[in-house]
Amino acid sequence: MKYYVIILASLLYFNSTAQELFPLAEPASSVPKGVLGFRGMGQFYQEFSQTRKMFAIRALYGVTSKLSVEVTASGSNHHDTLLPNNLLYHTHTASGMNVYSANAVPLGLPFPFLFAGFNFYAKYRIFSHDDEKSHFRIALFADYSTVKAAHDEAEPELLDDSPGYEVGFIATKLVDRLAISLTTGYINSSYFSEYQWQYIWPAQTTILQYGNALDYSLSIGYRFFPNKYSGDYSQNNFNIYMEFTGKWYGGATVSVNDVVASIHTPLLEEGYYIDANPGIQWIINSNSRVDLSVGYHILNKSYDHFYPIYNLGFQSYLFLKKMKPNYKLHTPMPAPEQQAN
Amino acid sequence: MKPYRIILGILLTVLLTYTAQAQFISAELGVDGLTCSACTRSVEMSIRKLDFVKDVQMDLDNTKGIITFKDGANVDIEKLAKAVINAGFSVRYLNATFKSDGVIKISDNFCFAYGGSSYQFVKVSPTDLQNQIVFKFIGKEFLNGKEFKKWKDNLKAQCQGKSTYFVTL
Repeated sequence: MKYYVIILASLLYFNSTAQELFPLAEPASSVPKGVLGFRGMGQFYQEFSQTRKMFAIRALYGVTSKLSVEVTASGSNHHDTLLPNNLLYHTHTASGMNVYSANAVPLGLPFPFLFAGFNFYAKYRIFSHDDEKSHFRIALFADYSTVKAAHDEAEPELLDDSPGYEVGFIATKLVDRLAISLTTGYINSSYFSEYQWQYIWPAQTTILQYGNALDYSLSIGYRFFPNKYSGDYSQNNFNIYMEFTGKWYGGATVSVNDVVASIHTPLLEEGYYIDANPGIQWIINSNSRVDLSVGYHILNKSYDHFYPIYNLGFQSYLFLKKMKPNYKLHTPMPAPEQQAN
Repeated sequence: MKPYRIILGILLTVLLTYTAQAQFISAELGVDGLTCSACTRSVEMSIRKLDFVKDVQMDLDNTKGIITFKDGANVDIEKLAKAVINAGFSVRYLNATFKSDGVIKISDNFCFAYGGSSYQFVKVSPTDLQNQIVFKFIGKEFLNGKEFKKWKDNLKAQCQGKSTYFVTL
């Protein structure tokens, strides 16, 4: 814990002159109007002998100077094709400890890589205050997920695990090389329904309603390199980040043949947690970025994933009209022959 | 509107304005709200989309850019400011260089007509201008909030034409 405090303190100390292109959170700023962007994401964590993987591909578009939209398709090997037989009792604690119970699903089972679904996201900037080398912006966002996976925990995860929608706001402050952003959202979860017949007799319809949640994150970014721009877009930029992410979610409700069942597992009960995700980012040609962040638990743990959790990202903007930027900058200003003043 | 007012309006426009075979050749603009090279590049690309822009040279450290316009192009200064806004940022200042082929006698609230728009000079003393003249644009979309506040009360449109820009020297 104290390491995070030290990192946070050092970030704030270098208040000289960062960046808001957070590896995990969205900034309040928008995608430039008429610009199409692509993002590839990979998420990895080790569950005993199995490496759990999630891959997603996202298209971003700036509809207006204030409205940005995103569509993401994702898939993972996080889940089996079916819910566990003993859904109401099962445990597969993500505490990192080797805990088994009579009703436990063995950990580290190989699951197939399955397509999860689509996620639609829109962000509208409602407030902007820009100054020289600084800004403060607030945006509202809405997120709708059609993801369908046999996700067997109460915690909703709209990107790749569970369906539902989220509404919230983002506030981002940027001063020179430092950026700080706060995101808060309310997740209204949907459900997963399954007609269980393969391993259960008599067959039954199980509906798993995921918990609603308060989603929160605090992200801090700092431009580590360069200290001063060389005046060339091709100059490499490196940003460092610390992102605190988490959720406070309600318990799930399970109904079997329309009768609400009693739950006997913490996986389906309410909970909350905070993860810390230090990260680094490489900006290439002032247009593409490669992100890497590693998540650790600092307060409770998510049952949704194991730790450490690695997030990789690659994002690039396409400026639809074919144009080449002027890579050489800082040329002398044209001196007017006569400048009345 | 009574006919004599229309005639008077036309007469005033003719008397108070000066048209010439001349044009805006370049502009310098400061951009607020950006600190990163990727953001600067987005601003540049947004400006480059404009059909009257010949070249853009951005200055990352000082968050400003020099834009040169195509010869004979009808430069739309409002579109230039809008390009910065579309990229997600704001204009701190916008100074455009106008190449004149004659002498322009200006005075306070003098209306200069060019390319279908009027340029009303604000807070200037009577001067004769020629060759290259730097127009400093005044407006919500051309200045940052604090700077615009200083000018707000001095802006009373007196020019004819479909759009009026307030400028100073």
